[in-house]
Amino acid sequence: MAAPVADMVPTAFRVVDRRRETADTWSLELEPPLPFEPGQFTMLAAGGAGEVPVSISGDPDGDRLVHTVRAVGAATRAICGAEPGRALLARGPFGVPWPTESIEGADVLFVAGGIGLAPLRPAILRLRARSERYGRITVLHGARTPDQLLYPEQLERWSAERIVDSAGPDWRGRVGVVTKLIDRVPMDPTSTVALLCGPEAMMRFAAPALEARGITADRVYVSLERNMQCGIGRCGHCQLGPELICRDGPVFRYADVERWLGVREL
Amino acid sequence: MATIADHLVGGADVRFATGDHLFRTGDVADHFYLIRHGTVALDLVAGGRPHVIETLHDGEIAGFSWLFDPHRWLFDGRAVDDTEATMFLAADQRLDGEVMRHFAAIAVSRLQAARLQLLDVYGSAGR
Amino acid sequence: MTMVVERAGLDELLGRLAARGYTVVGPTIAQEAIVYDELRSTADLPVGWTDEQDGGHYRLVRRDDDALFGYAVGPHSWKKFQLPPDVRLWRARLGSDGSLTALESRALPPRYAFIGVRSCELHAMGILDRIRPAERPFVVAVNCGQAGGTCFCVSMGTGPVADSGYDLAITELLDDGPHRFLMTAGSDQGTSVLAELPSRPAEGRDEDAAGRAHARAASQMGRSMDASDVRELLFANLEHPRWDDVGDRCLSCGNCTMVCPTCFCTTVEDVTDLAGTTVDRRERWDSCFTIDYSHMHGGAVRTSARSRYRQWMTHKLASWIDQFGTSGCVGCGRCITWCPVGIDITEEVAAIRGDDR
Repeated sequence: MAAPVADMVPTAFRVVDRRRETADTWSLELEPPLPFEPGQFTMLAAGGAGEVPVSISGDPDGDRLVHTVRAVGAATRAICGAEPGRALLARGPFGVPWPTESIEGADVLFVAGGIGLAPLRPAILRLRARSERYGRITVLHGARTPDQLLYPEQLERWSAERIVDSAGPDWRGRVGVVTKLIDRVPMDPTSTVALLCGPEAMMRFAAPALEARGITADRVYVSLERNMQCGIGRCGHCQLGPELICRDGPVFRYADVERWLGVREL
Repeated sequence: MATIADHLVGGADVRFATGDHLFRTGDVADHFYLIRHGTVALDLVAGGRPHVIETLHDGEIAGFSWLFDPHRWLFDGRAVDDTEATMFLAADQRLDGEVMRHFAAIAVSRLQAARLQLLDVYGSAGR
Repeated sequence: MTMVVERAGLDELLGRLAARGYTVVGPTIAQEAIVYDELRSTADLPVGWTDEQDGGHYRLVRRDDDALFGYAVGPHSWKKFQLPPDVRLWRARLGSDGSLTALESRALPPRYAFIGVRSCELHAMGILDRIRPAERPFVVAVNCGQAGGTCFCVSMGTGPVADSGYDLAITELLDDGPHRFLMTAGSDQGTSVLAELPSRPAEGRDEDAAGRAHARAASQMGRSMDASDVRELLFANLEHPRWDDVGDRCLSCGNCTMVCPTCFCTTVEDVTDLAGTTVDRRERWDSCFTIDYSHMHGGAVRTSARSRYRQWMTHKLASWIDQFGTSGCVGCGRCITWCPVGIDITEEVAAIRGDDR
């Protein structure tokens, strides 16, 4: 009888590292590690300040629980402010993960917009660790400005293509929309699966660009977001049409949700 | 599929070193470029500092202002890498339906991209 | 085995349940409505009262007999007990380093005995139980002998006769013969309680009278809905102009979500005391009609009343099936009665389908 409510009781994790990624985004590394699948999230809180759903952003085979969080409100500011030694409270992991196993054998194209790179990073790391099981792995990352690009050292290691909405003259890279990268990336569309994550507006124009290259909606996976409160399918908030994002997602095949994303105010 | 290059007349190969300007804001726009190899940044100069609003790459056209009044460049064009391009003179071109259709298509796609950039999807407006 | 019990037997029933440690709750009159609250005896029931219901209309009216269950359903539903409006899930001490200690889990709720549960409500309880499993109460169901003004359980296949999910089921008989109650057990618990009550075996005429009462209720439905294809109908018509029409009328007051026996949405909040040393995690009833319900960074997703009404109705009749395997609507009619502007879910479905009504 207590079982459903037990999912509402968090576990404490200790912050062991806090790293500023951009002006308003921090990565918190926690111990002990929590077994999870890439794409899953926890309901994370700094004690008393309220819970938010945050995708796990670290190595699924690593020894830390990592979250990359953007400080946009009271709850996220409290989380981002947690110094090493402090405890953060987490429930989870929850949600349907990226289909890293079912896409074995394919070429994989990761398209990350802004902080959308965070939920994709565990999948990138997992695939690169098991690279013999996959074809070509390509990472595309778009951000607002060069200083908003996430995980720059890793982007370098992954030979990721980067593009920003605007830049100063010191930037030697590309400027434009992320679809510019999609339009030009060398790939064989018939053997490619795309994993796409970013603000919904960005996913809504990136998916057609992928389709224009020949990657049809049934081979595009997206990670969606809605107002989440319980994370376990009992509070009703995170609905998108018939889907409960926390329980049936957050990862979806784009073909399955394209219809609902197109309805105004659904 | 016919590309824009098939409909352009004339053309001279030109090279730019990193940092060279292909064109500057306000200059007379009586020519345009097809980038063969390299990267050209379109800079909007505002408040003294240039802002890169787009980079153009292999196979892309730099320059539309030659088509319409006042025939003046709207931005600075700066070579980000050593760049090879073909320069075409406005006066040499046949402004027939095919050419206009190609340029219109490119302009529309640039417009759509610019609109998406304007949305600032990674900022607070991006839901 | 079907037995016949008299009013004294019902008082005995309430007494026996209380003696077994149940908190006995059922219909009673408060603030000019029939609500659910604790019952000490049958005298607490709305004896001799009935309800007059229509879109945006609810009045209690005196009957010309002393029926104990001669009304339909009121603004309360049993979710008040199954899924209380404000629950403290846990309380803990918050350490200075952000850790939690001394965590106290939720207090166990009382063991309830529900008296007077209608068939539509039994279905609603079953629906809620799939989403929020909880300890089963002792259920004394009542088979309706008359329908309410906004009832449509027949359309939804949820009544008027209870077929399962109860410990005891009662049909009240008073028209032909003495005032008496037909009672059947639906569980071992029910059988054991029934055995303790003064009763006699039911005879043919008792069963016939009950059958007539049930048929009368079934024939009096105030509303109807063709629910056979409603899921496909609504998903195919998410931009139907009717939504604009109902959106103009809907006040977004959320009454429907409060009175609906299956609406389950809650909000989860962490509440700290002033010193910041104790934190409570609370779960409170929420409504998809609030602006905040769909709030994300950047604002709410559903800013118009139109979109919120559409969300409520498509969830209830369509998405619910995808999410939980059944419709969310049991045809109780509460949303119609308690809507201040009388929006009628059955009328909205018909309008979208294009029926002439």
